[in-house]
Amino acid sequence: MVRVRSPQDFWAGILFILFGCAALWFGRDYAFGTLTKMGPGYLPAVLSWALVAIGGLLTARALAIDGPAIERSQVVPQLLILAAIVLFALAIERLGLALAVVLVAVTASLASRDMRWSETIALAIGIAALCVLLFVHLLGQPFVVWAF
Amino acid sequence: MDLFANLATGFGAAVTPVNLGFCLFGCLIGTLIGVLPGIGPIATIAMLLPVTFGLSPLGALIMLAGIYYGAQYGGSTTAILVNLPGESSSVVTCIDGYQMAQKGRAGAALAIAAVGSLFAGCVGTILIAAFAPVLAAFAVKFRSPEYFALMLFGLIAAVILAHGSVVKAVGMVILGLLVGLVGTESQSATARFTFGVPELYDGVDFVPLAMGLFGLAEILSNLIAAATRAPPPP
Repeated sequence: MVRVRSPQDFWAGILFILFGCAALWFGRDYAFGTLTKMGPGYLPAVLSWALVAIGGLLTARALAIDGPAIERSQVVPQLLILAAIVLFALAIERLGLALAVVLVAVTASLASRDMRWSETIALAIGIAALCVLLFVHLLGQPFVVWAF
Repeated sequence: MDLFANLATGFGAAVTPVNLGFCLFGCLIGTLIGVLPGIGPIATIAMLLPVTFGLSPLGALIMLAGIYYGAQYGGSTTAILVNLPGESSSVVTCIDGYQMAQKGRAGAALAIAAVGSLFAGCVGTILIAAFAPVLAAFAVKFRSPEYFALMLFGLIAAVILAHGSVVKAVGMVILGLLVGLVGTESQSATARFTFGVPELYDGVDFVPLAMGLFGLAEILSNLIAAATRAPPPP
């Protein structure tokens, strides 16, 4: 039974390998060319293999040398923060700036443990009003304020 | 001397109370807009260009110069206080400026950024004024081999200056290069790693990337540390 002595390095190595493999897969159709006449696929392929090699080295080393453990991370709050950004991107054109900002503020606040609804709603409306005033009225940016 | 005669003419035109007022005003609103994360000097100038339409050409140029310098300094404020680089040039400010802010020396960090910005701006302007013809001749000689040498130097420096594991630093440099490959290839116009998204044909812009890596990571790690964080000193 092989023991992972350095979980941080181990999973970093695995991630590197995954990124390298993904780049190899998505870049499989680009022409490789030759060393003297490099095609668009030359550098992606070389870099991907290098990344896989580095990842392999890191993973192998993590089995031999002791290292720090991975701290317990909180998955739900992290997903909520990322969801807030994705929601903003989806809502900015469909719902307009004002509602998109309210949506972001509320979603991101849900990630915090000591969140209170009254505070969050006041904050969301305040930020939305500030954004509309600043970006649309003062700076003249072409945002849709209300999509309806 | 040509240089001093030209400088004297320039100062004679620029140093009037009205023009200095334009400069101050431009600097002020440039800083205010530049503080907003993601809006660098160029975006600030583009947004505030209409403000200068009513002015004389000289006044407009002076005000735009003020806006430019103000916006360039403004980006460092968010970098120091919340670890969000406002533009690509203030990413480095994040590294030690934010550390100082965490140790309760945010005021000192902001002051250093302001004085540094003033000093570097003055030195840079004097250098440009004095050596512009020489520098231009040198810049024209800058071709692919020189750019390659410069990039290689930067990448090696990134590995050497990185804290912690060298292997991880090399891996991250390679990963960064891979991210840099996203977009239209310059020789054959092949769209690489764009997944059919038109926005990616231009490549991954530096500011969103830095915001994601620095700002978002900071927010996430704050969330995790929120429970165990010690209360602020009274």
